[in-house]
Amino acid sequence: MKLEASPTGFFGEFGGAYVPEMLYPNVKELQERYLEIIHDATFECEFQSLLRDFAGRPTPLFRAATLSRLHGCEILLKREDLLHTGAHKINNTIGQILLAKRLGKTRIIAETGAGQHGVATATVCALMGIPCIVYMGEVDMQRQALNVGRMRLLGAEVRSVTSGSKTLKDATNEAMRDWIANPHDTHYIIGSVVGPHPFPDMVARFQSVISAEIKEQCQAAYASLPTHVIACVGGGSNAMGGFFHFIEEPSVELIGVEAAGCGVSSGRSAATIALGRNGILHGSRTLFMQTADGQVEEAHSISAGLDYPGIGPQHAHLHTVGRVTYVQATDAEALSGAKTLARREGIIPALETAHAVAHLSKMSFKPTDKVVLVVSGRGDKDMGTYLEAFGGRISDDN
Amino acid sequence: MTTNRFEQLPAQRALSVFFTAGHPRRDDTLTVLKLLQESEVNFVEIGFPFSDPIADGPTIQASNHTALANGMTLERLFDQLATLRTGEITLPVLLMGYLNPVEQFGRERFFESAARLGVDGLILPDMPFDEYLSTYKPLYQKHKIQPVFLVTSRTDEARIRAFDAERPAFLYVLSSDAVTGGKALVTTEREAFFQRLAGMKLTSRLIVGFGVSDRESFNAVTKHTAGAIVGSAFVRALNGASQGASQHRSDPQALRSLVNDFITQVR
Ligand SMILES: Cc1ncc(COP(=O)(O)O)c(C=O)c1O
Repeated sequence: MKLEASPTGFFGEFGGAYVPEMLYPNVKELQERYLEIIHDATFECEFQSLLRDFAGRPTPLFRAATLSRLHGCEILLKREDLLHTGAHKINNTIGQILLAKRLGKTRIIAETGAGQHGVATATVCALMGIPCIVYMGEVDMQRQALNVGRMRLLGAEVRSVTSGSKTLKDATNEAMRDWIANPHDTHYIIGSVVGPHPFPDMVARFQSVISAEIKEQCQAAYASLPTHVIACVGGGSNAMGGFFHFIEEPSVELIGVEAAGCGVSSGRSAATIALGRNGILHGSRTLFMQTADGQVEEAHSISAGLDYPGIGPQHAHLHTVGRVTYVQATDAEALSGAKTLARREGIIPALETAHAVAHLSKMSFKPTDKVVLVVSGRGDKDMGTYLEAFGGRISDDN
Repeated sequence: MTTNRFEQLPAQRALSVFFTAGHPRRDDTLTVLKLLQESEVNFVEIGFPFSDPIADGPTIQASNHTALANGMTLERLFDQLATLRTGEITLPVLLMGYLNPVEQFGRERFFESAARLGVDGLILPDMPFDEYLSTYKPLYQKHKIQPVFLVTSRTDEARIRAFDAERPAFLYVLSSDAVTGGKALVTTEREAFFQRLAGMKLTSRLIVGFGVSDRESFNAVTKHTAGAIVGSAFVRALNGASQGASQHRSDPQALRSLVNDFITQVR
């Protein structure tokens, strides 16, 4: 199948741009100009050179020997955790800051959950000398305190959001309200494949470098495509990036892992695909967790980056047509996935990534399988949660 | 319902009030409506609550959350409005809210219920105009409910004329670049915008909203337009009705004096 946005930004029945009139001119300007801007040769050249020299691309595709032995196949880790700022988020923020400059915008706003997107936005704003304001839920500011400090050191203003669940959904609301109040000078750098068209398509294009490299690296090493690509799904940007160039390759099995929190049916989860219904949230038609009356439900995940009741419209579509399989991992499974990667491969992953790792042990593979796992970020920001979860046991158990 | 209740609006200085159904108490909706009519308000918008109102400032956000916590739902709102037109209420009534609750309730069922109860207009700020044309317009027409479109200082002329051609109840002109609850600052730039709109000779009434809170702002924004809507300031005033007559109703005397005092201060 092909995954292409319709002229009005729909992927099947999902997507579109459901914004109030106050944002219509901003969204319209982006819709009309994003393709022309990102396909421009000088943009392309600047984007590629910043990805290489500032962010550190290409990232390795590392053969995880112990995991490969354990699972009886080739397990290949796509090391987005090695990027500058520690996660895939910077692929998108570099693209969007270059776009914002071409649109003549002089002020940047962003929302953040885990703080990785906030840090990646603060970083490119510092690089370009543009003022940056990041909205972050109060709960997330506590559990990702290290990233709050990083953003502030980089010169960004971090605004605490105290409405609703005080997490990513509410930070996104506040960022949209800021954009409504500051439509002239401000560009909103959305952090995932969510929001009104063209954001989902644009962010997917900026993140697609992940699967472009995987394809090349896999060809070079094995003269073939991978058999599986597995990635965690919050809004879905690292997964879209990892899947992008394989969507039209039916032999590649694509798996998205969402956060089941305390369990899919526990009432405390972020299992959007499993529990979501079609509706309109944050400017697009997609699947999200909601009450019968159409009120958005609060998500829960141990991982701030997956703690979001919705999902990008491409994923809602890929799920509906059956091209991608979406599965779930609980908080506890993610913690054990994190420990596995740390102990077996010497890589402490972000809690988000840990959900994808956790899913490996629920699958069975053939010896010829080449399974790519997108390591979306590193775990420094989550050390507080890891220490609390593992407590004294962190020292010498296995 | 064949009469168009909007025809009864005065040509100038029409005053409209917005409030959130279910706030301050769950079952205050009809009482507040009656009091507004008594106070000679010209028309009313009843907001139905949504958990994530992205175009609203803190006051209306809070009223949405109070309403939801009070157990307000669309189902219940339509129950409350069952007697809307059986009593003395003659002023035009619009419903206003975000698209998702409407879609979950069922579009057709929503319009059918609203029309049956005598609702005159429906404002859906996050409904794209394309989607209005493709999906919602037939429902508005079939049920004789009038749409309303938002116009900002950045809405271009062709788009404004396209809105006007849909014969809306009025064009909802925004007083500022802001979410609800700000302060309408009538700068020379803003006044020029109102004048430009007035000069377009549109068929629709121009009604200004967002940030209109008192007599001063009401007078300023209605100089070149047909009227104004007061939202957050009224919702904030209703917060004063903390004494409940029962679990689900505010004390009607307290409400009456709040509403009367408030309207007297505006017009
Ligand atoms: C390391 C990491 N992985 C994944 C995510 C989830 O976002 P997405 O699904 O858009 O990749 C985040 C979000 O903060 C993150 O920091």
